[in-house]
Amino acid sequence: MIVQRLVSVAVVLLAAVAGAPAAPAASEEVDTCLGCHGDRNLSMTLPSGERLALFVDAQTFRRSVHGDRLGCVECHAGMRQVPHPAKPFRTARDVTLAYYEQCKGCHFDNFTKTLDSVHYQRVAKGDARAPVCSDCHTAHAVAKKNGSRSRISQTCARCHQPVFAAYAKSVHGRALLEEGNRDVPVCTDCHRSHDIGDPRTSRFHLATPELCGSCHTDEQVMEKYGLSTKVVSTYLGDFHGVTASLQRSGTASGERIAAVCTDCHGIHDITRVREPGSAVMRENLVKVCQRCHADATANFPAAWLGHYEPSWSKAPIVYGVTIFYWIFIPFVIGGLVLQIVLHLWRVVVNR
Amino acid sequence: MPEWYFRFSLGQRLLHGLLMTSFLGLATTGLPLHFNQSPWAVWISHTMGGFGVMGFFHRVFAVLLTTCFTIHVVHLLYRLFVKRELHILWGPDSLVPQPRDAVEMLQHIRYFLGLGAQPRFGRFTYWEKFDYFAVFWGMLIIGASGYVLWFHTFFSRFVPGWVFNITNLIHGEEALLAVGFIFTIHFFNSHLRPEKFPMDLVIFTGRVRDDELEHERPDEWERLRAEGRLGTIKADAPPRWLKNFGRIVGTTAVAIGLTLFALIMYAVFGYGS
Repeated sequence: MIVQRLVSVAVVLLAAVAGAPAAPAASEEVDTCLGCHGDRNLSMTLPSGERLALFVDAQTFRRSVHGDRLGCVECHAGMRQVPHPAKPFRTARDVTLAYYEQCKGCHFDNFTKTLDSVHYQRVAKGDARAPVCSDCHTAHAVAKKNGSRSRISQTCARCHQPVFAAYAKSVHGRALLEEGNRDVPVCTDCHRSHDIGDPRTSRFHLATPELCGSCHTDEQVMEKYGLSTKVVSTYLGDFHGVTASLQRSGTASGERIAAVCTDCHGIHDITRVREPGSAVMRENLVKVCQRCHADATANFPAAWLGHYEPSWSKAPIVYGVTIFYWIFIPFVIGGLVLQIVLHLWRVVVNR
Repeated sequence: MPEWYFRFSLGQRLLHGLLMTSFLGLATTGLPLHFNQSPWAVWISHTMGGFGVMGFFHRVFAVLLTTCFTIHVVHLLYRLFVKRELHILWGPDSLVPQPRDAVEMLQHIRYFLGLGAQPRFGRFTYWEKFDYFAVFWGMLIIGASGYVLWFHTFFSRFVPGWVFNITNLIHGEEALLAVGFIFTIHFFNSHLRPEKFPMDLVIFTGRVRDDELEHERPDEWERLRAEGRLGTIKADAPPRWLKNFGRIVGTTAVAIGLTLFALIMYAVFGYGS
């Protein structure tokens, strides 16, 4: 092993001496590093007592999105020197945290977005468990963008296991994981990928109708599943939607007075409405109402029109009363305004 | 020197003040719900400290208006059943619509069209009676539906669910009608019409001048003289402070009302709605 290492060091030195191109071709450089780091058993012991593996699988790196365009020292700056200079790392996490900022050099846009994320809030507070770039993207196996969508949710699942378990059983999660459905949302569709906001804020809560609506008002997508696209407009017309509209763009106060989509349908455990055990099925609905309206009786949920617009066939009384006022109010106000106009006309004529 | 006569008692004026304050409060805290997609609705809600605070004030004003309504009804019942003042049910001192009101309304329209003379109005004109019953009806129906909505879980023990849809609808639409009526028709007929512009202070001072009474309510003027009752309602001239108080309160109320009415018009017909 030591012999092998010496040989590679010699190669590096030779290359420098022979006046080879200042920046050797990426793959050539990778080969040089892999001279040592291709050794499956190469590792070092950190002051914390952790063993830090120093092995990089050549195949994995070559198949990654960076495989044909980046060399090792572009991220591992300062390691061109052999033997490598000593670094003050105490733990394996220190190593990760020391190198993830290298991503910024090329991916400035996405890196900057992460600075607004709930994950970075934890990183900035020194929480060693909070994820940085390489925790989601990996260090050496960074994948291309257009891979399988389920991989995204499984990435989040590595930390957010209970949430993923609920999601996996939901109508969205099952379609994704069992059918590979590309219409259903994965974690990042709702939470975004780099600028992940804190979902516990009222701002996030109040943005929910817009979030769900971005798919559920899409005629083309909803038609495939026989779902109504009126869910958002009927919600906004209802008292819950009215209160949510009035709270919108508000300061992030903790007051959660308005019920949004997820308050009835659930967040990660959303089911089909007509599925056995569905919380929003008519038979179960009163329990959902009681989460906010503690004393609601069995009569109470009937006030909910189930996202239907009132019509002669659906909620005819509500529709009838609406029509009545459409006629009655303009008739009364119009008639009385006509009287005012006549009155003013008389005053003008008398002069 | 003009003579002055009382038209409204102190109690009636105070009750109108309470009615006016609570009505404006209810309109300000309720209209944002009806026009929640308008930027001004969100602004009012935020300025008050959020939807929850706005709802709290709406209920406070609702209790005020209910108090006002209750005082009025109890007083009416007292006058009817204890003091036996049956003349408040029929006749020239009654607000109940009578055949002469239909006649006067037709005469008034004929006058507007230049087809006849001004009707000789009595103590209460047909539009004042309409005003009174519109508000009375409005308080009953909006108030009752409001309490059903306020205590919805309690009422859900007795009534089916669709009742809440209807009460919600009625509460909003009747309130819109009431607001539209008060902020245009009532303001015009009582204050902004050319004969009274910019304001009729009688509801604040309680006093009406002899020439006004004679000119506007000739039938009432003659009746009072014939019955020799003018002396019993004789008043001192309204003090300056009272007139100024009336001007300030009245202007404020009219300004708030017209602003809210303009906002409604903006929400209904305005750009971007």
